[in-house]
Order: sequence, then C-alpha cells, then structure tokens
Amino acid sequence: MAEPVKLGTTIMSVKYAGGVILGADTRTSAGSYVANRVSYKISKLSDRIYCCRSGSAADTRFLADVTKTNLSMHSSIIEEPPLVRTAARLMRHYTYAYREHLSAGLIVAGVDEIEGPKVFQLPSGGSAIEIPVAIGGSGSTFITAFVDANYRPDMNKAEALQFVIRAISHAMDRDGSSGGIIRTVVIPESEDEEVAEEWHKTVL
Amino acid sequence: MSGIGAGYDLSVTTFSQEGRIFQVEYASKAVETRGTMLSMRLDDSILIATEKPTLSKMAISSSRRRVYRISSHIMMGVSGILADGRAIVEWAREETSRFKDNYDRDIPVFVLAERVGNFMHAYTTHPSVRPFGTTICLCGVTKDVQSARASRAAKKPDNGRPELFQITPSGDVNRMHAMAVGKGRQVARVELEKLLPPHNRDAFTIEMDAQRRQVEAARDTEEEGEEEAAAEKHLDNMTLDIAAKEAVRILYLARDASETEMGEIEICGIGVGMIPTFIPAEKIKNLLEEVKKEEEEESSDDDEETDEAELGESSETE
Repeated sequence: MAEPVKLGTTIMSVKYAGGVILGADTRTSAGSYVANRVSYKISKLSDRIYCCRSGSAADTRFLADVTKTNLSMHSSIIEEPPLVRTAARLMRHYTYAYREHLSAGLIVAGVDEIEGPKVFQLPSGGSAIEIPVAIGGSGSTFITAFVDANYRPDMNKAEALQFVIRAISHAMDRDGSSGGIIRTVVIPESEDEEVAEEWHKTVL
Repeated sequence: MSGIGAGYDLSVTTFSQEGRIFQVEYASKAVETRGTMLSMRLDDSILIATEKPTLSKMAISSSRRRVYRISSHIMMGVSGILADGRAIVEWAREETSRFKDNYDRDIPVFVLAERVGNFMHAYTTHPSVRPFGTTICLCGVTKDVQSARASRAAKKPDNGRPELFQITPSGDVNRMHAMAVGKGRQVARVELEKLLPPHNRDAFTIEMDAQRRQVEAARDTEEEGEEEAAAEKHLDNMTLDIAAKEAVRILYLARDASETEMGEIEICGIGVGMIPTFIPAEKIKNLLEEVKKEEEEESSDDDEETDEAELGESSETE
C-alpha cells in the first residue's frame, strides 16, 4: 500500500469544427489496487477552459488548483475571460519550474472569443505545444495509430464525441491501468451553447 | 511660515488644512511650464506630437526624444521633466515584457496605464522621494474581446483597437479622445475640442457602432460630390497623415509667440497593424511650412475683411 496514487490513464482532447472536446477514463490506481473506479480526471480552470490530468494525482490536482486561482485573478485584471493559451502558459510555468519533482502529463483545452478553440499538450519536462488533437497517459500508446487514421479537424460535435469515445474505449480495453467509464466535457465555441459534462459506457 | 504652502508644501506625506498635497501640485507645474505635447486617438491609430525647445545649435536634432516605444503595440509620450519620464518608460517596458512572459499575450493598454498610475502614485506617498515631474501619454493597440467582436461585426480581421491614456504626477489615469499638456495646452485644447467626433463610439455597443458606421458610410457615398466639402473633419474620419498635419497646425498655433523660432516638432504614430513609427523630420518640416503659409493666408484674409468692415463703417458715419 506504499505505492503512490497514480492516474494510470487515458486522456485526450480534440478540436472540432465549433469547439473542443476533452475525454478521460476514470480509473485511479495505487500499484495494482484500483483506488477509485469513477474518478474525475478532467478539471475546470475557467468557464470555458478545462484540463485533463495524468500522472501523480496529488501533483496534477495541485497544478490544476493553482492554475485555476491564477487564471481567475488574471481574468479579474484584464476584465474579460482568459485565453486558452494563457491557461497553458500559467500551467507551464509550474511544470517547467518544478520539472525535476513533478510527475504530470497534462492537456489544457478550451475556447476563447479571440482565438477560438485551442488544445495544448503539456508533457512532463515543462514544454507546451499547441496541437489539434492531444492524447496522453499510459493508455494513449495503444491508440496513436487509431487517432492518426481517424481524426479530421472538420468533424461536427457528434462525430467528434463518437471519435473520442471510441478512442478511449480502445485504450481502456488494452491498458491495464485505464478503466471504469468515460467522462467527456464538450466546450462549444458559441456563447449560446452550454458546456456539457457527461459520462459514457465503453463502446467495444 | 507664510506664503502659499504655509509650511505644508515641503513633504508629500502631509496634507494641507484644505486637503491638498502641494508637492504633487508643484510637480504638475513642472509639466505646465515645459514644451507642448498633444495626442489624438483616431479611428484605428493614435499619434503623439511634441514641440521641443532647441537646447543648443550644437545639439543633434534627433536627440532628446520625447516619445518612446514600449513594445510593438504600445508607445509612451513624456512631457515635463524628460529624465523623470525615462524612468517610467524603463519600468513600463519591463512590466510589458513581464506580462507577455507570464500570460502569453500582449498587455491590454488600460492594464499598463493603471499600473503606471500605481507606480507614479507610490511616489506621492513616501517621505524620502519626490513625485514625478511628468504627465505621461500612453497609447497603444489592445486586442481583446471587444476588438474581436467589433471586427467580427465589421467583417474585418481583428488587429485590435487604439486606446489613449493620460497619467498625471498624482497617479490619476484618464481614458482620452485627445489630450494636450505643457505650455501651449490651452490653445491646443481649444483646437482639439473642435476635432472631437460627433458620436462617442465608446458610448455605443459594438453592434450599434458598426450599424452607425454603415449608415454613415452609405450616406457619405450618396452625398459624394454634392456636399463633399461639408463632411467635417474629426478624429474618427482623419487618416494618420491628415492628423499629423493637424497636429503640426495646432502646435504652431499654440507656440510661444515670445520666442523667435519654434522648437523642433517630433511626431510618432501607432496603429492597428502598425508599430510605433516616427514621422521623418524632413516631412514634418514640410508640413510646418505648409501650415505657416496657410495660416498666414488666412490671417491676411481676415485682415482684408476687417479693413473692409472698418471702411464701410467709416463711410456710413460720414
């Protein structure tokens, strides 16, 4: 039981025509023990910016919390909602400064009115890369080719959601430390549409 | 202990019995007695124009600049004591680059203006320092939700919107259409007020403003030819070039008539998609010549009119 609590995980985020979708499995393990089978690996940073967490549960929760408070302070100062790139930059500040001590692989995704939908991948080491589709966690190794073969940036919301569910289902099927259900967050670009936090069963 | 301050004017940490802080007021005097500086916010650009008294025939004319580039999207004009202003310029540059580093976006101009205001205000609250003898003119282009919505409504790419701020030695920050400080400020302000746009676009919602512009543009094209001359010149319909000439005219009108020669004029512009750019000295010289000629013609016209009037009057009395 001395094993650290880890998010042996599958997380992903995709841009579609009109927004972004984040997805994750729900298994939290300490060694071979499943500490939680319905955990939340997607954290809210602002109204329309979320992040997927993989690695040490403690480290990534801390990073998400501190980024959330910094982002909200910044938003008060500039008197408008923050940019997705700002959220990624604030998080990168910590992942880089404490890169020797952290175990964290993160994906920051969301929409803002100035730049539209954006996805940033923050692997351990402290870099931040903007990409249209990001996958992370131990499960992601099983679905790289699936994602490469099936991702299209012009997908609509329903197609993109199905794509995320299928990809994570495949990863959960092969990866021993991914499992449970699939949680998704759909963040539409349009102000009129609500952000949808949902869960789904695997489809395989 | 007699005189204006009655002992209350020696420190910034003591209010007078009327609730004034004399040292801060004296700092404003340092601005009022020095060269004129003016700034105008146009539709998609801003310019700063200053008149610098000639220090010496041996000084190289481009020295003692009064407008500084803070970043590619912000510039700062310094009136009053130049050396005081440069300390603020340096601090503003650091603040601007720190913001970009921390948040991966350009600092909104109003955020920097408020921070410069805080910085200057700090120097009015400590006993060991004196206030800055300068009024800052801070202008730049802000890219934010407002500019994004405005350009979406106008179906144009979003390159931001111009903002102009005046920051006084007390640390006061004001958002301006146009501003003038220094020796010739009174004449300059009268001239600038004539150029205020008929509509205050800041009072409209973005959608209302876009609609108004469309209506006005349609009307302008209809009336073209008929009443072209009637279209009045104001801040929202001037180009940077026309505004530069207008600025030269205003500085000329606001010049110190007791001096034999005008000081050197410096003009710098910034705009949507345009980094801070100085107008070449040669061009300003030409503008000044044009302005002088036009103003002389106008005043001689006035003289003739008055002459005729006088003649008429005298003939009547006879």
